[in-house]
Amino acid sequence: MKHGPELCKKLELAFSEYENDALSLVTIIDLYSMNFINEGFRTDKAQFLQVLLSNLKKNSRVAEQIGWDLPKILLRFLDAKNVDRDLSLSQNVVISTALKCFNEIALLGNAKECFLAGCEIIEGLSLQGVELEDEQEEVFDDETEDDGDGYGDEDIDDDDTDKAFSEDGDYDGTENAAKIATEKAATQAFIDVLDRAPEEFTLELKLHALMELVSTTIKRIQTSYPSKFLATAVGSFLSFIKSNAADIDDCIFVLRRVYMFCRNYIPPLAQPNIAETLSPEEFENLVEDENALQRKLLQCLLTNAVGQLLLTRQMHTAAEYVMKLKNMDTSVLDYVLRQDMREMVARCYHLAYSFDIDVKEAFKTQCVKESVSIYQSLPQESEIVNEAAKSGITQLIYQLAHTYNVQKKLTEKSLSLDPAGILALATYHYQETGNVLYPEIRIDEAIYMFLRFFTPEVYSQTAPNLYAIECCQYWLWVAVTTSSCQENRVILGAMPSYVVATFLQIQLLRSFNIASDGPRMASFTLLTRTMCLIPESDAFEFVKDTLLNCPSNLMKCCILGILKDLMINTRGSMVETSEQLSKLSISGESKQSAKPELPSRPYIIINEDRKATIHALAVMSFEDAKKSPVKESLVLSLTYLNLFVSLKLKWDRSLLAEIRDTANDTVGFLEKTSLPEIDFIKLANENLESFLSQ
Amino acid sequence: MTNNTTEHHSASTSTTAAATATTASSTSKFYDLAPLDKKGQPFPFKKLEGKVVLIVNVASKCGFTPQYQDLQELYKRYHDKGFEIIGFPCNQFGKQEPGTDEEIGQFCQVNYGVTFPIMKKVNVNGSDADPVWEYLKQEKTGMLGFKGIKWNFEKFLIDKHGNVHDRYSSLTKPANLDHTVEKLLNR
Repeated sequence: MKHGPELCKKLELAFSEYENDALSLVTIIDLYSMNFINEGFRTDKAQFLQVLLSNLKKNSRVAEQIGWDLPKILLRFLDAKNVDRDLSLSQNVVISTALKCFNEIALLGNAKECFLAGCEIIEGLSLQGVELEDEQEEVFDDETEDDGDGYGDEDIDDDDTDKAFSEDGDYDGTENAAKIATEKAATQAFIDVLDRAPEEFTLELKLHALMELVSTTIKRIQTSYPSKFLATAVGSFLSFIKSNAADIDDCIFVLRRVYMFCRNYIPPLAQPNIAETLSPEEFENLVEDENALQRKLLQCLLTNAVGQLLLTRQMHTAAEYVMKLKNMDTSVLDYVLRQDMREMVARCYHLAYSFDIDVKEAFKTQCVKESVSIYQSLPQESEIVNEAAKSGITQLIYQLAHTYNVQKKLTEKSLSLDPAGILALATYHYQETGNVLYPEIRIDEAIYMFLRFFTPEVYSQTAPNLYAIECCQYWLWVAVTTSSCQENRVILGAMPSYVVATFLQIQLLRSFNIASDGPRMASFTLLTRTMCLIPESDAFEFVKDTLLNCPSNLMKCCILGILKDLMINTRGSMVETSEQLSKLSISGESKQSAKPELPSRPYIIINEDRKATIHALAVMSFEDAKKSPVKESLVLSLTYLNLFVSLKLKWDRSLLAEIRDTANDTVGFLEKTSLPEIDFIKLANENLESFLSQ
Repeated sequence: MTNNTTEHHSASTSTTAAATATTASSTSKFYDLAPLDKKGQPFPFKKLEGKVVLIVNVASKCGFTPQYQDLQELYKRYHDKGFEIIGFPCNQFGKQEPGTDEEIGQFCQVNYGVTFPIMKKVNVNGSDADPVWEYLKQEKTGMLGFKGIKWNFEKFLIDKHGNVHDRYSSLTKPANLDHTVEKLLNR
């Protein structure tokens, strides 16, 4: 950079010249910093920051006056482009010197002002606000055009960096162009080795610097009301989390910072002589009240951070639980079980206990009981008299949790723990200890909890909390496996069928959208198991409703697969067998009291009505395939055919013959299309034909 | 007790059992406690009557682990005058005490020449926290009134009568307790 050394000298001078004019000094620092940001190489930036740092150290009075104004200037230097990937961050001079400047500000700046400035910046910090290199240069150019008489304008060429270097005859353009190219290549190399987006890396650096500033300055503040300052900090962190959690791919770094803040929190200093101005009793009450508020704030921050920052992450606890029940090797899940997430949640889990959070009790009241209470006002089954009422009530179920959340936020008068955070910690207990924290959970409670955490995404602007949903899946599995089938059948039978149907709809949709094999299988198994436990007519009604109304043909294929299982497998072959296996240790006892077994029957009996329904739906699918010969519709027709082939011995021959003819007709109609599914349909139909010709 | 019960559970249960068996002659409930030592044998606190005791939750892989050295020095200085230190290994903070009781004992001896008793590994927080720690946390809260133990190397100083004199965070170096220990011993 051409004018770097000159500007550094000017900065040095400015510290003595404007010692008593903080505003002018900050303006100079601001302007010079922009020049270095825009035009400087890393060495120039480092030089600028070192001058700033040494002057802050030398002039503690000045540092106290201007400290609060410097963070936003220093943040510009905390950028991925200022990092040399071959060095550790502490060895990267630009980054480490900027952080040292933050440190000086935290130690020497006016504690209250610096604290408030830090909180304010954190609140407004966002991933969108983190500009990439090229965008940053554009912003700077626009700004400098508007600058009328700023310091340095007469000395510093504000043109685009590349242009300035290539056209300046007095300067070795070739050498600097090479230097720019080298720095850009090094930056790109650094970005390439980063395991996340460079914007996120930059955001992490900034958040780190600011949270360190806040946590250091809060300790230095003298006040009789420390909770007010802690509340400000907590408010700014939560605001940051709320506006960024859904956009950040990997929120673990934010959670780590919040965790560090909570764990290392030391309250502000007591106001001197406060004890003398109050009676001993008043003083004691003040201290007690303040301590209680601070405890609540820290608990609130921790649970909110855990609940809201993991929303895009998954740990597949449900799949792990199921696989362990079946004595399967869970190491296949390791690729999805990010170790850093596990470690971070473990830290938060233990900190919750350090903060006296009774996770089990909080889970019972804030997750389980509260979820049940949200849906307790739903009408009785008998009040839903027609299809319109059924459709309306389904919409209500989807909306209820969102409405409840809004109302709760509006009416909440005291700080409370975040239910999603408590849910995450209660679920993590299983991974930490291998034991279920609340094995008493009932299946209806688990369903209501699932609906409560899943449905708000439908109506609110907020992103779905995938982790909370995953945790609910785990609790559904706990409920299914810790109670007997009979108990679960009774509980599910007592629930309004429209609630169960809504749950099944969501479970189907969710299972369908899971990408990983193990977790998807676990999710579909849970759906199948629940369908085994509900009244047979409700299970078939759900299948029929899905085959009629579901917009996705592939999802219809999934439900046909489940229907096939439920029509073929007999009671005792699916749920009960695995239940016995999981409770093998007590099987001896149950054998003694076992009654004679009833003849086995399928979960869904094939009767004339059901045959006619499925037949009609299959014919419709062939009609649809003819109208719209795309892969999905042909796959659905093929799935119907395969279902008939599997159930041919239990089906009506005349209906099967009709299906064969319909399939033949469809194949003939679509012969010219080149989709391979046509051949598969032909093959399945030949199988049916050979059966019918016997 | 089932085979798969963790050692934390076994430590907790045994302490309770031993505590019940102890006579009720002690003035402080502290002396009714009897955690398990590293060999799994009860270590009745009754034998600590009349002594000043420092109880610490320890971990071998923690940034504060070098405090073992300070602790040992403090122990050496005052042990003859009636001072005891009891270390409780705990793996709840950053999983920094993963070893077995035998490995932990060996680590302390080899690296820091520890001669004060190191107990069986326990949990200090949560529903299965060891009764010793439940008692100590109940008696003296930490910063802001939190009862929970925050990290490794938190310390509780108990006077000659079994009263919890004070609670110190991990940041308090054992050497800084020198004066208080001496004062309590001279009382």
